Amino acid sequence: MHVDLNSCFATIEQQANPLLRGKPMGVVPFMSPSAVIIAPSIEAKALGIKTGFTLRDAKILCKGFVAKLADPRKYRDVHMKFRNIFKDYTPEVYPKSIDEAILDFSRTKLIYGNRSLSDIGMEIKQRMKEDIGEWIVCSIGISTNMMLAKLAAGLHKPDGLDIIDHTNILDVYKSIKLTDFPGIAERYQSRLNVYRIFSAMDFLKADKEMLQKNVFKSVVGGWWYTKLRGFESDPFEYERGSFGRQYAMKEATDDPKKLAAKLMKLCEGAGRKMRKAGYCAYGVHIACEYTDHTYWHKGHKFHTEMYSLMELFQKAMLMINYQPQWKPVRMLSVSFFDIIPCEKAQLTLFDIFDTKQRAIADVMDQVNDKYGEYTLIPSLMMNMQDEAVDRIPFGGASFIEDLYS
Amino acid sequence: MLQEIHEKVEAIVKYYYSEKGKFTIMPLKIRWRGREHIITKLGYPHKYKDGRITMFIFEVSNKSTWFRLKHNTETLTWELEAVSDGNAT
Repeated sequence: MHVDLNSCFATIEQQANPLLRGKPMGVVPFMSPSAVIIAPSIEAKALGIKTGFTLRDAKILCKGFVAKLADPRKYRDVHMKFRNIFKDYTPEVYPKSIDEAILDFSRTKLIYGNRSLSDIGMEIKQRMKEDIGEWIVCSIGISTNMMLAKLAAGLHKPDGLDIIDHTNILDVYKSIKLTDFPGIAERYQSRLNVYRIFSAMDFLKADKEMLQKNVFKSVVGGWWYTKLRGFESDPFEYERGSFGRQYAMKEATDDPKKLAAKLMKLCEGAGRKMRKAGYCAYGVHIACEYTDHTYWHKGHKFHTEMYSLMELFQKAMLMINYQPQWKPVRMLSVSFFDIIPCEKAQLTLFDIFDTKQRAIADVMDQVNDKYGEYTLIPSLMMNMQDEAVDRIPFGGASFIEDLYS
Repeated sequence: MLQEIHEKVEAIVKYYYSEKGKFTIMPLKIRWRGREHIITKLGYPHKYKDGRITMFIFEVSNKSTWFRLKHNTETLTWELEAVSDGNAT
Protein backbone atom coordinates (compact mmCIF):
# COMPACT_ATOMS: atom_id res chain seq x y z
CA MET A 1 0.00 0.00 0.00
CA HIS A 2 1.33 3.40 -1.01
CA VAL A 3 0.04 6.39 0.96
CA ASP A 4 0.69 9.89 -0.35
CA LEU A 5 -0.39 13.07 1.42
CA ASN A 6 -1.87 15.35 -1.23
CA SER A 7 -0.12 18.72 -1.61
CA CYS A 8 1.46 17.84 1.72
CA PHE A 9 2.96 21.07 3.06
CA ALA A 10 0.16 23.27 1.69
CA THR A 11 -2.55 20.99 3.10
CA ILE A 12 -0.84 21.00 6.51
CA GLU A 13 -0.74 24.82 6.44
CA GLN A 14 -4.44 24.89 5.55
CA GLN A 15 -5.12 22.48 8.40
CA ALA A 16 -3.22 24.76 10.80
CA ASN A 17 -4.82 27.94 9.51
CA PRO A 18 -8.50 27.54 8.54
CA LEU A 19 -8.45 31.03 7.00
CA LEU A 20 -6.26 29.62 4.20
CA ARG A 21 -8.66 26.80 3.35
CA GLY A 22 -10.17 26.90 -0.12
CA LYS A 23 -7.66 29.56 -1.19
CA PRO A 24 -4.90 29.30 -3.77
CA MET A 25 -1.79 29.26 -1.59
CA GLY A 26 1.62 27.68 -1.48
CA VAL A 27 4.62 27.05 0.70
CA VAL A 28 7.92 28.82 -0.03
CA PRO A 29 11.34 28.34 1.60
CA PHE A 30 11.87 32.12 1.96
CA MET A 31 9.84 35.24 1.25
CA SER A 32 11.04 36.78 -1.97
CA PRO A 33 9.49 37.19 -5.44
CA SER A 34 12.11 34.79 -6.78
CA ALA A 35 11.35 32.13 -4.14
CA VAL A 36 10.29 28.80 -5.61
CA ILE A 37 6.95 27.34 -4.57
CA ILE A 38 7.73 23.98 -3.02
CA ALA A 39 4.11 22.98 -2.45
CA PRO A 40 1.08 24.62 -4.06
CA SER A 41 -2.35 23.91 -2.57
CA ILE A 42 -4.94 21.86 -4.44
CA GLU A 43 -6.77 25.13 -5.25
CA ALA A 44 -3.56 26.67 -6.64
CA LYS A 45 -2.89 23.59 -8.76
CA ALA A 46 -6.37 23.95 -10.25
CA LEU A 47 -5.30 27.42 -11.46
CA GLY A 48 -2.21 25.98 -13.14
CA ILE A 49 0.30 26.90 -10.42
CA LYS A 50 2.78 24.07 -10.13
CA THR A 51 5.67 23.09 -7.86
CA GLY A 52 8.76 24.97 -9.04
CA PHE A 53 6.93 28.15 -10.07
CA THR A 54 8.39 31.32 -8.61
CA LEU A 55 6.24 33.39 -6.29
CA ARG A 56 6.37 36.16 -8.90
CA ASP A 57 4.86 33.83 -11.57
CA ALA A 58 2.20 32.56 -9.17
CA LYS A 59 1.12 36.13 -8.41
CA ILE A 60 0.81 36.83 -12.13
CA LEU A 61 -1.51 33.82 -12.52
CA CYS A 62 -3.45 34.59 -9.36
CA LYS A 63 -3.25 37.98 -7.67
CA GLY A 64 -4.65 36.66 -4.39
CA PHE A 65 -2.12 33.81 -4.12
CA VAL A 66 -1.05 33.48 -0.47
CA ALA A 67 2.53 32.46 0.22
CA LYS A 68 3.35 30.78 3.52
CA LEU A 69 6.87 30.29 4.82
CA ALA A 70 7.79 26.62 5.27
CA ASP A 71 7.61 25.28 8.82
CA PRO A 72 9.72 22.08 8.82
CA ARG A 73 9.01 21.33 12.51
CA LYS A 74 5.30 21.10 11.81
CA TYR A 75 5.80 18.89 8.74
CA ARG A 76 8.03 16.53 10.73
CA ASP A 77 5.39 16.36 13.45
CA VAL A 78 2.73 15.41 10.87
CA HIS A 79 5.10 12.83 9.37
CA MET A 80 5.59 11.23 12.78
CA LYS A 81 1.84 11.18 13.39
CA PHE A 82 0.99 9.50 10.13
CA ARG A 83 3.82 7.05 10.61
CA ASN A 84 2.35 6.13 14.01
CA ILE A 85 -1.06 5.54 12.39
CA PHE A 86 0.52 3.20 9.82
CA LYS A 87 2.35 1.28 12.55
CA ASP A 88 -1.05 0.27 13.97
CA TYR A 89 -1.68 -1.74 10.80
CA THR A 90 1.71 -3.22 9.93
CA PRO A 91 5.18 -3.10 11.47
CA GLU A 92 6.64 -2.90 7.96
CA VAL A 93 6.36 0.81 7.21
CA TYR A 94 8.90 2.32 4.81
CA PRO A 95 8.79 6.13 4.52
CA LYS A 96 9.76 7.16 0.99
CA SER A 97 9.83 10.88 1.71
CA ILE A 98 8.30 13.33 4.18
CA ASP A 99 4.84 12.92 2.61
CA GLU A 100 4.69 9.35 1.39
CA ALA A 101 5.18 5.88 2.73
CA ILE A 102 4.96 2.26 1.70
CA LEU A 103 3.10 -0.16 3.97
CA ASP A 104 3.99 -3.78 3.32
CA PHE A 105 1.15 -6.13 4.20
CA SER A 106 2.57 -9.20 2.50
CA ARG A 107 3.69 -10.78 5.80
CA THR A 108 1.20 -9.30 8.24
CA LYS A 109 -2.11 -10.95 7.37
CA LEU A 110 -2.66 -11.96 11.01
CA ILE A 111 -2.73 -8.32 12.10
CA TYR A 112 -5.48 -7.21 9.77
CA GLY A 113 -7.31 -10.53 9.72
CA ASN A 114 -10.00 -11.00 7.14
CA ARG A 115 -10.44 -7.34 6.29
CA SER A 116 -9.65 -6.20 2.77
CA LEU A 117 -6.81 -3.77 2.15
CA SER A 118 -9.25 -1.25 0.69
CA ASP A 119 -11.16 -1.31 4.03
CA ILE A 120 -7.89 -0.66 5.83
CA GLY A 121 -7.12 2.11 3.34
CA MET A 122 -10.45 3.79 4.07
CA GLU A 123 -9.81 3.47 7.80
CA ILE A 124 -6.35 5.04 7.44
CA LYS A 125 -7.92 7.99 5.59
CA GLN A 126 -10.41 8.40 8.44
CA ARG A 127 -7.69 8.11 11.12
CA MET A 128 -5.64 10.80 9.33
CA LYS A 129 -8.60 13.15 9.64
CA GLU A 130 -9.19 12.28 13.30
CA ASP A 131 -5.58 12.22 14.50
CA ILE A 132 -4.01 14.93 12.32
CA GLY A 133 -6.84 17.13 11.13
CA GLU A 134 -10.04 17.24 9.14
CA TRP A 135 -8.40 19.01 6.17
CA ILE A 136 -5.77 16.32 5.62
CA VAL A 137 -6.37 14.22 2.52
CA CYS A 138 -4.28 11.42 1.13
CA SER A 139 -4.25 9.21 -1.93
CA ILE A 140 -3.85 5.51 -1.42
CA GLY A 141 -2.73 2.95 -3.95
CA ILE A 142 -2.82 -0.79 -3.40
CA SER A 143 -1.04 -3.34 -5.54
CA THR A 144 1.37 -6.22 -5.57
CA ASN A 145 4.55 -4.15 -5.75
CA MET A 146 5.77 -0.67 -4.77
CA MET A 147 5.83 0.75 -8.29
CA LEU A 148 2.26 -0.29 -9.09
CA ALA A 149 1.03 0.85 -5.66
CA LYS A 150 2.52 4.32 -6.30
CA LEU A 151 1.00 4.34 -9.78
CA ALA A 152 -2.39 3.42 -8.26
CA ALA A 153 -2.06 6.22 -5.67
CA GLY A 154 -1.59 8.70 -8.51
CA LEU A 155 -4.64 7.60 -10.54
CA HIS A 156 -7.21 9.72 -8.73
CA LYS A 157 -5.74 12.70 -6.92
CA PRO A 158 -6.67 14.11 -4.46
CA ASP A 159 -8.22 11.73 -1.95
CA GLY A 160 -8.24 8.64 -4.18
CA LEU A 161 -8.08 4.98 -3.31
CA ASP A 162 -7.25 2.65 -6.18
CA ILE A 163 -6.25 -0.94 -6.56
CA ILE A 164 -4.21 -2.36 -9.40
CA ASP A 165 -4.33 -6.14 -9.63
CA HIS A 166 -4.54 -8.86 -12.26
CA THR A 167 -8.13 -7.89 -13.11
CA ASN A 168 -7.41 -4.32 -14.21
CA ILE A 169 -3.68 -4.00 -14.83
CA LEU A 170 -4.04 -4.06 -18.62
CA ASP A 171 -6.85 -1.47 -18.54
CA VAL A 172 -4.65 0.77 -16.40
CA TYR A 173 -1.68 0.36 -18.78
CA LYS A 174 -3.93 1.21 -21.74
CA SER A 175 -5.03 4.44 -20.05
CA ILE A 176 -1.66 5.88 -18.98
CA LYS A 177 1.37 7.48 -20.61
CA LEU A 178 4.94 6.26 -20.19
CA THR A 179 5.75 9.26 -17.99
CA ASP A 180 2.96 8.26 -15.59
CA PHE A 181 5.18 5.41 -14.39
CA PRO A 182 7.09 6.48 -11.26
CA GLY A 183 10.72 6.90 -12.26
CA ILE A 184 10.10 7.43 -15.99
CA ALA A 185 10.61 11.08 -16.87
CA GLU A 186 11.29 12.72 -20.25
CA ARG A 187 14.84 11.39 -20.53
CA TYR A 188 13.90 7.76 -20.02
CA GLN A 189 10.84 8.27 -22.22
CA SER A 190 13.00 9.36 -25.14
CA ARG A 191 15.32 6.42 -24.55
CA LEU A 192 12.31 4.08 -24.64
CA ASN A 193 11.02 5.83 -27.77
CA VAL A 194 14.30 5.09 -29.55
CA TYR A 195 13.52 1.37 -29.13
CA ARG A 196 9.93 1.82 -30.41
CA ILE A 197 8.36 1.79 -26.98
CA PHE A 198 5.75 4.54 -27.11
CA SER A 199 3.08 3.38 -24.67
CA ALA A 200 2.74 1.51 -21.41
CA MET A 201 1.51 -1.52 -23.36
CA ASP A 202 4.61 -1.42 -25.59
CA PHE A 203 6.70 -1.25 -22.41
CA LEU A 204 4.92 -4.32 -21.02
CA LYS A 205 5.48 -6.28 -24.21
CA ALA A 206 9.16 -5.30 -24.49
CA ASP A 207 11.74 -8.05 -24.33
CA LYS A 208 13.67 -8.38 -21.04
CA GLU A 209 17.08 -8.60 -22.70
CA MET A 210 16.39 -5.59 -24.83
CA LEU A 211 15.36 -3.54 -21.77
CA GLN A 212 18.43 -4.66 -19.87
CA LYS A 213 21.07 -4.43 -22.59
CA ASN A 214 19.82 -1.61 -24.79
CA VAL A 215 17.31 0.65 -23.10
CA PHE A 216 18.48 0.88 -19.50
CA LYS A 217 21.94 -0.64 -20.10
CA SER A 218 21.91 -2.15 -16.62
CA VAL A 219 20.09 -4.51 -14.31
CA VAL A 220 17.44 -1.78 -13.95
CA GLY A 221 15.93 -2.96 -17.26
CA GLY A 222 15.38 -6.39 -15.76
CA TRP A 223 13.82 -4.81 -12.70
CA TRP A 224 11.35 -2.92 -14.90
CA TYR A 225 10.45 -6.14 -16.72
CA THR A 226 9.64 -7.73 -13.35
CA LYS A 227 7.84 -4.70 -11.90
CA LEU A 228 5.58 -4.27 -14.92
CA ARG A 229 4.32 -7.80 -14.31
CA GLY A 230 3.42 -7.05 -10.70
CA PHE A 231 6.40 -8.62 -8.95
CA GLU A 232 8.70 -6.82 -6.53
CA SER A 233 12.25 -6.04 -7.56
CA ASP A 234 13.39 -2.84 -5.80
CA PRO A 235 14.86 -2.97 -2.31
CA PHE A 236 12.51 -1.59 0.36
CA GLU A 237 15.18 -0.03 2.52
CA TYR A 238 18.00 2.24 1.53
CA GLU A 239 21.31 2.43 3.26
CA ARG A 240 22.42 5.91 4.08
CA GLY A 241 25.55 6.94 2.18
CA SER A 242 26.08 10.57 3.11
CA PHE A 243 25.09 13.52 5.28
CA GLY A 244 24.68 16.92 3.70
CA ARG A 245 23.10 20.32 3.71
CA GLN A 246 22.29 22.88 1.07
CA TYR A 247 21.69 26.59 1.25
CA ALA A 248 20.08 28.95 -1.27
CA MET A 249 21.62 32.37 -0.69
CA LYS A 250 19.33 35.30 -0.08
CA GLU A 251 22.01 37.43 -1.71
CA ALA A 252 24.54 35.81 -4.01
CA THR A 253 28.12 36.43 -2.97
CA ASP A 254 31.66 35.68 -4.10
CA ASP A 255 33.23 37.07 -0.92
CA PRO A 256 35.44 34.24 0.44
CA LYS A 257 34.83 35.36 4.06
CA LYS A 258 31.04 35.30 3.69
CA LEU A 259 31.15 31.99 1.86
CA ALA A 260 33.38 30.54 4.57
CA ALA A 261 30.89 31.53 7.26
CA LYS A 262 27.99 29.99 5.33
CA LEU A 263 30.03 26.87 4.64
CA MET A 264 30.82 26.52 8.33
CA LYS A 265 27.14 26.68 9.18
CA LEU A 266 26.35 24.01 6.58
CA CYS A 267 29.21 21.84 7.92
CA GLU A 268 27.82 22.27 11.43
CA GLY A 269 24.31 21.26 10.32
CA ALA A 270 25.49 18.19 8.41
CA GLY A 271 28.08 17.35 11.09
CA ARG A 272 25.51 17.47 13.90
CA LYS A 273 23.30 15.04 11.99
CA MET A 274 26.26 12.78 11.27
CA ARG A 275 27.56 12.73 14.85
CA LYS A 276 24.06 12.17 16.23
CA ALA A 277 23.75 9.12 13.99
CA GLY A 278 27.16 7.91 15.24
CA TYR A 279 29.10 8.24 11.98
CA CYS A 280 32.27 9.86 10.74
CA ALA A 281 33.15 10.48 7.08
CA TYR A 282 36.17 10.14 4.82
CA GLY A 283 34.86 12.12 1.86
CA VAL A 284 33.66 15.65 1.32
CA HIS A 285 31.76 17.02 -1.65
CA ILE A 286 31.13 20.70 -2.37
CA ALA A 287 28.79 22.08 -5.01
CA CYS A 288 28.21 25.68 -6.06
CA GLU A 289 25.57 27.08 -8.35
CA TYR A 290 26.49 30.51 -9.64
CA THR A 291 24.34 33.45 -10.61
CA ASP A 292 25.35 32.96 -14.27
CA HIS A 293 23.62 29.52 -14.07
CA THR A 294 26.89 27.62 -14.25
CA TYR A 295 27.67 24.85 -11.80
CA TRP A 296 30.85 23.57 -10.21
CA HIS A 297 31.38 20.70 -7.85
CA LYS A 298 34.24 18.73 -6.40
CA GLY A 299 34.49 15.74 -4.16
CA HIS A 300 37.50 14.11 -2.53
CA LYS A 301 38.15 11.17 -0.30
CA PHE A 302 40.75 11.66 2.44
CA HIS A 303 42.89 9.12 4.29
CA THR A 304 41.73 10.17 7.74
CA GLU A 305 38.15 10.36 8.92
CA MET A 306 36.38 13.61 9.78
CA TYR A 307 34.18 13.99 12.84
CA SER A 308 34.43 17.36 14.59
CA LEU A 309 33.23 20.62 13.07
CA MET A 310 36.79 21.88 12.58
CA GLU A 311 37.84 18.72 10.72
CA LEU A 312 34.77 18.90 8.48
CA PHE A 313 35.11 22.62 7.89
CA GLN A 314 38.83 22.57 7.12
CA LYS A 315 38.38 19.87 4.48
CA ALA A 316 35.34 21.63 3.02
CA MET A 317 37.34 24.88 2.78
CA LEU A 318 40.14 23.00 1.08
CA MET A 319 37.64 21.80 -1.51
CA ILE A 320 35.95 25.16 -2.12
CA ASN A 321 39.36 26.72 -2.74
CA TYR A 322 39.68 24.48 -5.80
CA GLN A 323 37.06 26.58 -7.56
CA PRO A 324 38.55 27.64 -10.90
CA GLN A 325 36.99 31.08 -10.51
CA TRP A 326 35.33 32.88 -7.59
CA LYS A 327 31.95 33.87 -9.00
CA PRO A 328 28.80 34.94 -7.06
CA VAL A 329 27.32 31.79 -5.57
CA ARG A 330 23.55 31.48 -5.28
CA MET A 331 23.36 27.92 -4.01
CA LEU A 332 25.97 26.22 -1.84
CA SER A 333 25.86 22.63 -0.75
CA VAL A 334 28.14 20.35 1.19
CA SER A 335 27.92 16.65 1.83
CA PHE A 336 30.09 14.16 3.65
CA PHE A 337 30.27 10.73 2.09
CA ASP A 338 32.05 7.43 2.58
CA ILE A 339 30.68 7.26 6.09
CA ILE A 340 31.45 4.60 8.64
CA PRO A 341 30.19 4.04 12.18
CA CYS A 342 32.53 5.87 14.60
CA GLU A 343 33.46 2.72 16.50
CA LYS A 344 34.94 1.25 13.31
CA ALA A 345 37.08 4.30 12.57
CA GLN A 346 40.87 3.97 12.63
CA LEU A 347 42.28 5.09 15.98
CA THR A 348 44.97 7.74 15.86
CA LEU A 349 48.34 6.98 17.45
CA PHE A 350 49.89 10.38 17.74
CA ASP A 351 47.48 13.20 17.01
CA ILE A 352 46.21 14.20 20.45
CA PHE A 353 44.83 17.43 18.95
CA ASP A 354 42.24 15.52 16.87
CA THR A 355 41.15 13.48 19.87
CA LYS A 356 40.63 16.67 21.87
CA GLN A 357 38.75 18.29 19.00
CA ARG A 358 36.39 15.34 18.84
CA ALA A 359 35.78 15.37 22.57
CA ILE A 360 35.00 19.10 22.32
CA ALA A 361 32.60 18.43 19.43
CA ASP A 362 30.73 15.87 21.54
CA VAL A 363 30.50 18.26 24.49
CA MET A 364 29.32 21.12 22.25
CA ASP A 365 26.63 18.84 20.83
CA GLN A 366 25.52 17.92 24.35
CA VAL A 367 25.31 21.59 25.39
CA ASN A 368 23.31 22.44 22.26
CA ASP A 369 21.03 19.45 22.82
CA LYS A 370 20.32 20.64 26.33
CA TYR A 371 20.07 24.41 25.89
CA GLY A 372 18.97 24.66 22.25
CA GLU A 373 20.67 24.96 18.86
CA TYR A 374 23.37 27.61 18.51
CA THR A 375 23.84 28.06 22.26
CA LEU A 376 27.53 27.22 21.80
CA ILE A 377 29.03 28.04 18.40
CA PRO A 378 32.40 28.84 16.84
CA SER A 379 32.99 32.60 16.58
CA LEU A 380 32.85 32.47 12.78
CA MET A 381 29.18 31.53 13.08
CA MET A 382 28.18 34.41 15.35
CA ASN A 383 24.93 36.20 14.41
CA MET A 384 24.08 33.52 11.86
CA GLN A 385 21.12 31.95 13.70
CA ASP A 386 18.66 33.12 11.08
CA GLU A 387 20.71 32.01 8.10
CA ALA A 388 20.81 28.54 6.58
CA VAL A 389 17.65 27.73 8.49
CA ASP A 390 16.06 24.34 8.84
CA ARG A 391 14.85 22.86 5.54
CA ILE A 392 12.94 19.79 4.50
CA PRO A 393 14.71 17.96 1.69
CA PHE A 394 12.70 16.42 -1.12
CA GLY A 395 12.53 13.27 -3.05
CA GLY A 396 14.83 10.96 -1.16
CA ALA A 397 14.46 8.41 1.54
CA SER A 398 18.01 8.83 2.81
CA PHE A 399 17.24 11.78 5.09
CA ILE A 400 14.20 10.13 6.67
CA GLU A 401 16.17 8.69 9.56
CA ASP A 402 16.99 12.27 10.62
CA LEU A 403 13.33 12.63 11.52
CA TYR A 404 13.53 9.86 14.04
CA SER A 405 16.76 10.89 15.76
CA MET B 1 -1.00 38.95 5.70
CA LEU B 2 1.13 37.26 8.32
CA GLN B 3 2.83 39.39 10.95
CA GLU B 4 5.47 38.15 13.36
CA ILE B 5 4.71 39.41 16.90
CA HIS B 6 6.68 37.50 19.60
CA GLU B 7 5.00 39.10 22.63
CA LYS B 8 3.93 37.55 25.92
CA VAL B 9 0.15 37.16 26.26
CA GLU B 10 -2.30 36.00 28.93
CA ALA B 11 -4.36 32.93 28.10
CA ILE B 12 -7.37 31.00 29.36
CA VAL B 13 -6.88 27.37 28.47
CA LYS B 14 -9.13 24.33 28.67
CA TYR B 15 -7.66 20.89 29.31
CA TYR B 16 -10.18 18.16 28.52
CA TYR B 17 -10.90 14.75 27.05
CA SER B 18 -12.67 14.92 23.70
CA GLU B 19 -15.73 12.76 22.94
CA LYS B 20 -13.37 10.15 21.49
CA GLY B 21 -11.33 10.10 24.68
CA LYS B 22 -8.39 12.06 23.26
CA PHE B 23 -6.72 14.43 25.74
CA THR B 24 -6.84 17.90 24.25
CA ILE B 25 -5.52 21.32 25.22
CA MET B 26 -7.45 24.26 23.80
CA PRO B 27 -6.66 27.93 24.36
CA LEU B 28 -10.08 29.60 24.67
CA LYS B 29 -9.17 33.24 25.02
CA ILE B 30 -6.04 35.39 24.88
CA ARG B 31 -5.39 38.92 26.05
CA TRP B 32 -2.95 40.73 23.78
CA ARG B 33 -2.12 44.45 24.10
CA GLY B 34 -5.11 44.87 26.45
CA ARG B 35 -7.60 43.36 24.01
CA GLU B 36 -9.29 40.00 24.40
CA HIS B 37 -9.52 37.59 21.50
CA ILE B 38 -11.85 34.60 21.66
CA ILE B 39 -10.54 31.48 19.96
CA THR B 40 -12.99 29.17 18.27
CA LYS B 41 -10.88 26.70 16.33
CA LEU B 42 -7.82 24.62 17.05
CA GLY B 43 -5.91 24.20 13.77
CA TYR B 44 -2.88 22.03 14.33
CA PRO B 45 -1.21 21.72 17.73
CA HIS B 46 2.30 20.28 17.83
CA LYS B 47 5.41 20.36 19.94
CA TYR B 48 9.17 20.57 19.58
CA LYS B 49 12.22 20.59 21.81
CA ASP B 50 14.31 23.71 22.27
CA GLY B 51 17.23 22.10 24.03
CA ARG B 52 15.70 20.30 27.02
CA ILE B 53 12.57 22.48 27.06
CA THR B 54 9.42 21.25 25.33
CA MET B 55 7.53 23.96 23.50
CA PHE B 56 3.93 23.51 22.42
CA ILE B 57 2.73 25.37 19.36
CA PHE B 58 -0.99 26.03 19.04
CA GLU B 59 -2.15 27.32 15.69
CA VAL B 60 -5.63 28.59 16.47
CA SER B 61 -8.15 30.94 14.92
CA ASN B 62 -11.48 32.69 15.11
CA LYS B 63 -13.59 33.93 12.20
CA SER B 64 -11.19 36.66 11.14
CA THR B 65 -7.78 36.05 12.67
CA TRP B 66 -5.29 33.23 12.98
CA PHE B 67 -2.84 33.13 15.89
CA ARG B 68 0.30 31.08 16.45
CA LEU B 69 0.79 30.65 20.20
CA LYS B 70 3.82 29.13 21.89
CA HIS B 71 3.56 27.57 25.32
CA ASN B 72 6.83 27.13 27.19
CA THR B 73 6.45 24.08 29.44
CA GLU B 74 9.27 25.21 31.75
CA THR B 75 8.13 28.76 32.47
CA LEU B 76 4.44 27.98 31.71
CA THR B 77 4.23 31.23 29.76
CA TRP B 78 2.32 31.92 26.55
CA GLU B 79 3.78 33.86 23.67
CA LEU B 80 1.96 35.14 20.61
CA GLU B 81 4.37 34.37 17.80
CA ALA B 82 2.37 35.52 14.79
CA VAL B 83 -1.04 36.65 13.57
CA SER B 84 -2.60 36.51 10.13
CA ASP B 85 -5.83 37.43 8.38
CA GLY B 86 -5.25 34.65 5.84
CA ASN B 87 -4.94 37.03 2.89
CA ALA B 88 -2.10 37.73 0.50
CA THR B 89 0.33 40.55 1.21
